[in-house]
Amino acid sequence: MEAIPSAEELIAAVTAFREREAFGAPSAHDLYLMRVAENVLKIVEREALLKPTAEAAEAARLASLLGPKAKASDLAKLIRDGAFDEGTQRRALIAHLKASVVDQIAIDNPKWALP
Amino acid sequence: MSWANDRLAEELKAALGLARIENLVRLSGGASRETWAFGDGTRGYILRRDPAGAGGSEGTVDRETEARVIEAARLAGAPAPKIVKILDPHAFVMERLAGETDPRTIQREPSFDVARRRFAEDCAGALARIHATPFEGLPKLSLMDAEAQLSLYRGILDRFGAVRPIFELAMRWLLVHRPAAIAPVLVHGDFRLGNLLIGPNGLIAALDWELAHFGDPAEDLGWLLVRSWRFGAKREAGGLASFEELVAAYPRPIDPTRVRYWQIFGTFKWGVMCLIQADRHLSGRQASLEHAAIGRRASEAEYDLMNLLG
Repeated sequence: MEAIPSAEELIAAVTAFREREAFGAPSAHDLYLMRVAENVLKIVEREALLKPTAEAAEAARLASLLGPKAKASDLAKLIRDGAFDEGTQRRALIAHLKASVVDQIAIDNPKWALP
Repeated sequence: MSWANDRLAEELKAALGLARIENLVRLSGGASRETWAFGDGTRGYILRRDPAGAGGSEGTVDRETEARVIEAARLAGAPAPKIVKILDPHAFVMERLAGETDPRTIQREPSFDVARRRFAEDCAGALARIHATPFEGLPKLSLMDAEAQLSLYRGILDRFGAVRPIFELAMRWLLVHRPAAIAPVLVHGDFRLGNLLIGPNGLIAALDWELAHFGDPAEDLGWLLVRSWRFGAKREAGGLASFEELVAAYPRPIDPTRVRYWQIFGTFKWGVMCLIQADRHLSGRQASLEHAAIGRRASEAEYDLMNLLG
């Protein structure tokens, strides 16, 4: 799944935050941003661990749904045009998207997943 | 106090004609607006302003319009802070009311027992008053029904070049199932835990009116039911009341199907808002770690959408 910002962009944002000029004791807002930074680095760690498997599984599901050369953008366009409005195709699509988002939430925020 | 704070204090003193400004402090939280608290020795005030360089984002009103909406809604009986002064299109000062906005404190502290029990009734009642605000007292606002909002968010996603099949699925569903036209009312647009000032005895004021517009009253109820605003608790309305309790507490007839539609819409909208925040950072318009991090919350909305639509 598309993840924005990328891991590289997240690391750059944390680095920029750490390198900014700071005077005196950290404010409440600074402390809040330090927690955000910690959290962001954990996302990057989980992504390094989980993304390769998730991407391969997603590509395989997409191929069985739309054919070997299909891209996520093709799927997006078909959904937009109403090709998946009903029937068995819709059920297959929903199974695919659920599997993808379950993998993505395991990277972005595993606590969000429902039991 | 830093030099920048000293200068802000001087500016506020002059603009408000106050003899003194004390305890000027930036309140934490709020990714897109700055909130400052201060006093003059007698009363407490809140300054709400745009951070330097932040332009208005689509679907939001400027600070001057926001202040005028707050004042009109308050005069119509809605719980809202009194506006002290509009400084310019980017900043206004309002009275500081005593209360709590922190969702987890409101959800957990024993002293908020009564407020928690009254939550559905207070919110539904406040929303009905907001929705009854006469148009004559209000500034010009956009009419944003489901179709107009879908086209707004469609445009934003296309401009980002975002490839998000789950958002496509949601938009398609929202387009096919959009409710019949209804007489538009003033919609708060961001009425949810975090933007609600609550005291031990219940709701004191609705804050953060920058998403105000004309539209479907069910939109505000649906937004309050979005999972992000439960802050980890279970019950659908802010973790404090059920869907059914909230809908039943609304003092005028409202179709639960319509509310459910706007809950799904709200979940989608929150997801797009996460991408908008990330874009503010990535485009360099407002580079901040906070905005960058919110981008990765879009998948929470996608996860919830799959549960709501699947």
